[in-house]
Amino acid sequence: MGTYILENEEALKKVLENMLRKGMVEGVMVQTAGESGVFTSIITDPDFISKTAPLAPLFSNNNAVFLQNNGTRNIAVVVKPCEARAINELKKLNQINTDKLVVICADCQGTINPRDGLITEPLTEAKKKELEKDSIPIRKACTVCEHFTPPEVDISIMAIGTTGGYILATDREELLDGLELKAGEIPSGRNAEVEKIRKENLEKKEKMVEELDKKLGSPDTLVEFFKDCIRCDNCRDMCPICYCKQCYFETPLGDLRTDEMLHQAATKGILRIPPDILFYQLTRNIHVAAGCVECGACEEVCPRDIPLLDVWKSITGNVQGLFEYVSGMKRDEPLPLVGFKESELEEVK
Amino acid sequence: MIEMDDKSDFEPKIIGFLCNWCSYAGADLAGVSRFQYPANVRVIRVMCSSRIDPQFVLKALTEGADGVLIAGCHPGDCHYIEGNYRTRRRIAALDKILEKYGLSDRVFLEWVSASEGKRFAEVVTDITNKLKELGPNPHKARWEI
Repeated sequence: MGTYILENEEALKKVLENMLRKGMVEGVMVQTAGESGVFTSIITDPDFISKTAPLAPLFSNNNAVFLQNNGTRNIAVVVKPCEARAINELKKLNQINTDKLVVICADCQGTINPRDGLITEPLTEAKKKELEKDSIPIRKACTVCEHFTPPEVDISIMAIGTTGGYILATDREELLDGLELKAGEIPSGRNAEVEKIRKENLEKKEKMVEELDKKLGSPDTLVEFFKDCIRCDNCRDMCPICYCKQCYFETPLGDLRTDEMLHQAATKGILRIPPDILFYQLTRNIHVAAGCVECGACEEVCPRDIPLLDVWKSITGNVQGLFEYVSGMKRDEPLPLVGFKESELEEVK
Repeated sequence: MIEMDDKSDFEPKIIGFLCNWCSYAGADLAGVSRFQYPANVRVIRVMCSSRIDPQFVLKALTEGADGVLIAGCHPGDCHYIEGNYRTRRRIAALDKILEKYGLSDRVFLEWVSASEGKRFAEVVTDITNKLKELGPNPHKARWEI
């Protein structure tokens, strides 16, 4: 693996520009500053690279959603660790061809929803304090994030542990052809610092899960928790792991017309419209839990402000822990619900 | 309106998914051998226990079934070689989720072979008693879910 020094964000832009100019990729998906805000974009003209903000700490949706069923043309994507994990997970689910992607992922020290504030410089501890003063909130998912460093990607950018600047690490050195980058080393204090942040976040997560368990344990509170859901399907559409081409809830069985509603109402004598709120949420739970990357995109788009992230935080660890699996960290490993061992889980029955 | 049954004479409604090759034949044997067991289980025959999408279980529970029984061949005996290993993982994952929602006591995964008529009768008796103890599914009476 080659490790190189990038002095600043500009150096990273040079790497992107080089790839584009040399024709290694046909486009770059990266955040770019426009006139009304910062948006994720696909750039084919290298002149636009100067306007990009690859490390801007903004998250409005998980962009892995838009990379599903990618075609045959090469593209470089600059993503957050949660997005990179979703890409890896979708690769295992045969929904993304990573051979046609150059995934570039940097350490993430928290993100902000662009509707709360438009910050383009990467977050540091000092910057976070400043934001707190301006009462710009860091996304809830980020405050309880355990995997904020790059998973298995093509190019990883490390910020934590360095003294200014970044360390670029890659196995695919041909992507850096034509650039004169100084060789560097992964800082020795990095692991300790990463563990320190992880521990802090983990504590916050545990508190969150504890609070939630009080809310979900009994059937009454469970109904109360999801009662505001209007089945808009936003959480499903914006979830990178919820990838089915045809969702059950779009088939005649799951998307009921009045005749079927009458039929279903006859079971209890009455039926809430839209029907199957709890069934919908629980179905998403079981379909996604083994692959959830806990990015919080679902909660971000919920128009009724249901704290969905809390639910995922609470069940993902349990389900993935059962199979000693962490979703999206590697590109080639068996999916927990596809593989099996002959002797395991004896206690289930 | 559904009247909540009094706990004393509460008869749970159990949806039983039985695999064609082992458990269904086991249930058949229980019948042929005239073993007595409670009539609370409604049997749905599936070709393999791995045919059971966890969604089926969730649908049954949210519609008000008091319990769900999933029965298949013993591990290693699956007609399709590995179907029941997959079932075991899926139901284990489902169980972890339902645990959070206080519903995991109502889902049962059992292995019953074609020769275990007696065992099938015991399994059904056992889970019927457990569910009687537990009381009706609280979601049976709630329509706003």
